[in-house]
Amino acid sequence: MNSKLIQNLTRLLEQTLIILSVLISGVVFLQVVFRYVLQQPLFWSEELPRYLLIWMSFLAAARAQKDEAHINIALCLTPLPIVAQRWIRLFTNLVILAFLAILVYSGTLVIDITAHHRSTALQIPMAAVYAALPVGAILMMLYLVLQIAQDIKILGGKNS
Amino acid sequence: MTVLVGSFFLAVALGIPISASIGISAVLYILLYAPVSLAIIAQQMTIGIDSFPLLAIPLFLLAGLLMSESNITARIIRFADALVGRIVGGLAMVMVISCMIFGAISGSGVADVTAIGSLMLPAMERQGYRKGLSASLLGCAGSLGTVIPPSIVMIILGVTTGTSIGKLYLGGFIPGVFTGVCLMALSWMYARRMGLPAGDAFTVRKLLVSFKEAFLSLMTPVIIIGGIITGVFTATEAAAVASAYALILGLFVYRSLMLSQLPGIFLRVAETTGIILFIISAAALFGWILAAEQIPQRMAEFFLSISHNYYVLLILINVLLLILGTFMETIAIIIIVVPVLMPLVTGLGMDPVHFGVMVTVNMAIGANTPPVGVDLIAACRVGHTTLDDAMPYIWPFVTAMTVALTIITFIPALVTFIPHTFMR
Repeated sequence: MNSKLIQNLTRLLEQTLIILSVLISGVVFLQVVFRYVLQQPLFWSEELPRYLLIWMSFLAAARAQKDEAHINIALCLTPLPIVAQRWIRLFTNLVILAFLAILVYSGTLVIDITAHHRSTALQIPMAAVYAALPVGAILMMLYLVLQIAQDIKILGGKNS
Repeated sequence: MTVLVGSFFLAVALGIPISASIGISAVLYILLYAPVSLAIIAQQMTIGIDSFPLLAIPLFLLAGLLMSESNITARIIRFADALVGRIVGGLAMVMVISCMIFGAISGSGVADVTAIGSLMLPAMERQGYRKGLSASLLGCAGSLGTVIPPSIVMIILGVTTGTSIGKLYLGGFIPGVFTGVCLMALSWMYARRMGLPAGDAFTVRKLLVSFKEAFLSLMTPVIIIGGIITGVFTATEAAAVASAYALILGLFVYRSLMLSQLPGIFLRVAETTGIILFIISAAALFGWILAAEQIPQRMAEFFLSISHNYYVLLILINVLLLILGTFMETIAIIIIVVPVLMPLVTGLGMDPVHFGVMVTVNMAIGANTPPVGVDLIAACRVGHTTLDDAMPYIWPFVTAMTVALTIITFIPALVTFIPHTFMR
C-alpha cells in the first residue's frame, strides 16, 4: 500500500479530482453568467460539465475505494467471530473484483462501438466519455487488489 | 426476478457496498437471463449519470461545505437562540430551528446533523439534556435537511422520475417546516416533564443584532428559492450561484475561510459525489432490467389487486417505504423503488410533486430508524453516544414524524400549494 508508485498515483488521482471538481463548478457558474448577465449563452456549457461529472464520479469512486468509503451495511456480520468476518471479506472482495473486471470488459466493448460517434455540441468522440467507467474500474481494482493482499497477509499470519 | 432481488440482499448482508451490490445483482441477472451484448452494462451505467440536473449534487455539496467551513453555523444558532431560546426546553427548540435553517442551505441530512450537532450537543449536555435524547432529536431534525429545499434526495427523485426539481423544492417547504414544528412540540413536552431550563429572556434588541449577524448567510436560501420561483435559475444553476455566493462570503466578507482549505473542500465534494453517483450509476443498470421485465406494470397490478381505494393504497405504499427505509439506503430506494411506484400513483390521479415530497418525508423517517438510519447514526457519532442510548428516545420522535407524514399524505395542498401558486 505504501509503495512510491501507488502514492504518486493516488496524489495524481486526487489532483485530477480537485481540478475536475473546480472545473465543473466553474463552468456551470459561467453558464449562468453568460446566459443572464451577458445574454449570450455558451453552446458547450451544458455538455462539458456533464461529461466532466461522469469522469469525476468514476475516478472519485476509485478514491472512495482506496478510503473504503463506499456505503455498506456491516451490521449482519458483526455478531460473527473476527476470523470469520475476515474470510467473508476476502470472499466478497473477490466477488467485487470480478464485478469490476466485467465493467472494464463491458467498457471496452462500448468504446469500440462508439469509436466514431461524436457528441452534439463539442464534437468530442463519445469513446472518450465512455472511457471513464473502465478507467475508474481499473483504478478501483488496483486499490482493491492491494486491500485483498493486505487481508491475505493478515489471514496467513493468523493461521500459522 | 428472485435471482435479481435475492442476490442483491445477499450481497448487502455480506457487507458489500450498496453500489457494488446493486451492480453485481444486475450483472448476474444479465449474464444468466438476458441475451444481450455485455456492452449494455457500461453503456447504461454511463448514461445513467449523464444528466445536467445531477450536476446540482456536487454544487450543493460545495455550497454546504463552504458555508459550514466558514463557521456560519454559529451565527445561525445565535439567531435561532434569540428567536426561541426563551421557551422551556429552549435549547432543543434552538437545535431544531437551526437544523431547519441550515437545511435550507445544505441538501443533505448528514451534513445538517454534523454541522449543527457539533455545536449544539455539548451545550445541551451542559444544561442536563440526556445524550440519547438530544442525539435522537438531532437525527430527526437534521433529516429535515432533505425535505427543506435544496435537497439531494429531491434532485435524484426528480431525475429518475422526470418530475420538476424546482416544484419538488417548493413543495418540500411547508412539509419540512410542519414536521419541524411537530418535533419541537414533542421536545417541549419532554422538556417540561424533565424540568429542563429555559434560556435568557427574549429581547427585540438581541433578535435584531443576531439577525443582522446572520443576515448574509440567511440570504443563501433566499437566492436559491427566489431564483427558482422566478424562473431565473434551474436547480443546478441555483446551486452554482449559491456556491459562488458562499465562496465570496467565506473568503471576503466573514474572512473565516482560508484559501488553503479549498483544495480539501473540492476533494471532499468530488469523493462524496463519486460515492453517490456510483450508486446512481449501478441503479440505472438495475432500473433498465426492471423496465425490461415490466416490473412497474406488475407491481401496479399487485397493488391494485389488494385494493382500488386511493387512501388504502397510499397507506400501503407508505408502510412499504417505511419498512424498506429501516434496512435500505435512501438513494437506492429512490432510484430502484420509486420509479416503479410512480406510474401506479399517477394512474390513481396523484400529483407527482405530492408523491415525491411524501416519499422524501418518508425517507427522512427511514434515515432515523435503526438498523440502517444514517442520520441517527451520524447524530450518535457527533454526540459521542451509542444507538442503544438513543433507542428509548428515537421512537417517540419517529412517531411524531410519522404523524406529520400521515397528515402530509392526506392533505395534498400542504405540498402543492406553493409550487402551484408560484410555478406553472
